[in-house]
Amino acid sequence: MTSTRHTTAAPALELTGLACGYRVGLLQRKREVLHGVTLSVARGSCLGLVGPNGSGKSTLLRTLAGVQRAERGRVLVLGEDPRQARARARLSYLPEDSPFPAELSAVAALDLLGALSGVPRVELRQRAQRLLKRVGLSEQQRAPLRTFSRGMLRRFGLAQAFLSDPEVVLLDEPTAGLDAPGFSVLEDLLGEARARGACVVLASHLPSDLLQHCDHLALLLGGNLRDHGPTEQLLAVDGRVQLELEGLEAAHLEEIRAWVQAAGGKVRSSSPAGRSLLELYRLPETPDEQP
Amino acid sequence: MSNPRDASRERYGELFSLWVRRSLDPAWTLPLLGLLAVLSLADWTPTALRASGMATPSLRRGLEREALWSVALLLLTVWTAWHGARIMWRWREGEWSWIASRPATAFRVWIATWAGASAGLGLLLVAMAVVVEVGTGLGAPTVRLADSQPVDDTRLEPGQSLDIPWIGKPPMTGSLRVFLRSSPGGDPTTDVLVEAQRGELVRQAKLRLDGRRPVEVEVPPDTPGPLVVTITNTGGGALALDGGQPLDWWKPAGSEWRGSCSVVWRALIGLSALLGLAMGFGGRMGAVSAAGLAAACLLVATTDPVVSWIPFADLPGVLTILGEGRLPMGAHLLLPLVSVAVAVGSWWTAGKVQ
Repeated sequence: MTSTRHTTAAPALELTGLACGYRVGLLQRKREVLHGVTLSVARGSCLGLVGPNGSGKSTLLRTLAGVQRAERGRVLVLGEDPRQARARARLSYLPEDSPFPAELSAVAALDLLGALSGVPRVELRQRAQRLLKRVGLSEQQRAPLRTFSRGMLRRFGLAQAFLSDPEVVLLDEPTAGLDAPGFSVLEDLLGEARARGACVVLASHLPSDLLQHCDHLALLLGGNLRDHGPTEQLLAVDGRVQLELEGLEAAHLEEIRAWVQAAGGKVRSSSPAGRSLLELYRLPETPDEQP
Repeated sequence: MSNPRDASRERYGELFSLWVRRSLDPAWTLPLLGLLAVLSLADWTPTALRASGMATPSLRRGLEREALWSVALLLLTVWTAWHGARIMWRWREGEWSWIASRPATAFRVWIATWAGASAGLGLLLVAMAVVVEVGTGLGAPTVRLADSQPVDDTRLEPGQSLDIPWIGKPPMTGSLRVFLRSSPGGDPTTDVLVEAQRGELVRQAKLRLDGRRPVEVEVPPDTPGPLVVTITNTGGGALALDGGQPLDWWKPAGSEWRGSCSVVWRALIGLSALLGLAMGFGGRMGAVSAAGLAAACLLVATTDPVVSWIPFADLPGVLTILGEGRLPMGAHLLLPLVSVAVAVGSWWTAGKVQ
């Protein structure tokens, strides 16, 4: 597998011939999931992991997070083995499910997770309050996590992932179960993280996640890295363009369609673009207040 | 600059608290305490003993204490094995992902988890002791087993006597107890004289023996010289010294409720070791198998009461002493260390949790 460096800066993540898997049964037999993945991700970039179910995306993230041991090959996070606590102090991880202690309140769970991350107690409470407000859970901060919906748990997961200002953020299906305002919160948090130079790796099945957030994509198939590179380059199809226009009437659309055909092209699809869900949620409550 | 020990306490303290809380899950602890409270309303004195008129208030309280603790510990032991095995199951089912991705040392996480779960069990045991003692009514001053000396099975024909010199630190107060039985096969009844002699001072107990029973004789007051216990068969039938029970020295001690304290301490050490063992097995196999294997190890431990430094080994004997309205000897000093060693050793048993 060849390696492509995205920038000339020292990489945030480096995988060389990574193979890992699970041990199953009493005899702890090996079941390999990743077979020799070599990849490097620059600081400040956002890598999207794509691939069908069972392709090894979550295993790759778990290995980067130091949760899972590599069977072969080398993994370096910010130049260090993620099995070392020093490396893990600089990263954060959002697991695919939300296996947080269900009996704890959101604020108590953040206390626990922050304490394990080594965030000083005084600072921790302030950060927890701020993040819970940010992800829209400040009113439910005293409620046990077991009373949370899937989307609320995802929001809580985002709060814990950004609790310690990590330099590497690993997110497994961050938008699964999130509502539209939740998408917006994620977008803001990712924007801030990248602005301070953090490297983000996210696994997702949603094209919108990948197009919106990721500057690079890595395609995993059957535990092998099939392809990776800049998002536009990986998804580009020669001669195909997607436009989103505003302020046009139906007649204008017909004119554009005719012009495209005259130029030898083809309009593959066109439909009126409606409001986004986020815009819909932000509509004023009474008709009089509508613009 | 913060003290590293304070930083470590801050880092693992919350995890410790989480497991204290999980060990005290009200869905399990409240029914258990309620059951104990209900059982404490029953009369645990056997009908035959009540009819014989030998059931003193102290004995009745002792029997109730023994019964309540036996039921409580049986349930708590099964639950602890399951609880320990489920810790690893929880870790495998996802909790390990948020634990292991933090800059925490895996071994310290293990110890904080074990210590927290054990502390929760300790609090539960204290709550159970309160229910047991409220149910039995605390009790009166009693005696504590101070020391024991093994004796051999010996048959004494009519007129024969046996001297047993006390070895070790000589008793100064209290009483000595030995188990005797009138020998079957011959005359089922005989008379016995048990004397405790030190220097010129002698204390004695005479009684007619019909079957097997303990015979107690007062310790002569503090005088120089070795202490010798003499057993004489003064009757017409044969007499046997029961070597299955040692010669015990009982001395006045605190109130009967201290017996529950003794059970709490021993049970806490035993349950902590069991918890560690179940956690260790849980890293390798399913929760049910791990709990079953840990419980099997516990059964093996309780079959050899002689090795008192093994957690749980002397607990059945302690409960029997409690049943007599008396207090057991202090627990072996090595017990807590053995429990910690089991928990630490189980870390390696658990292997790779993935």
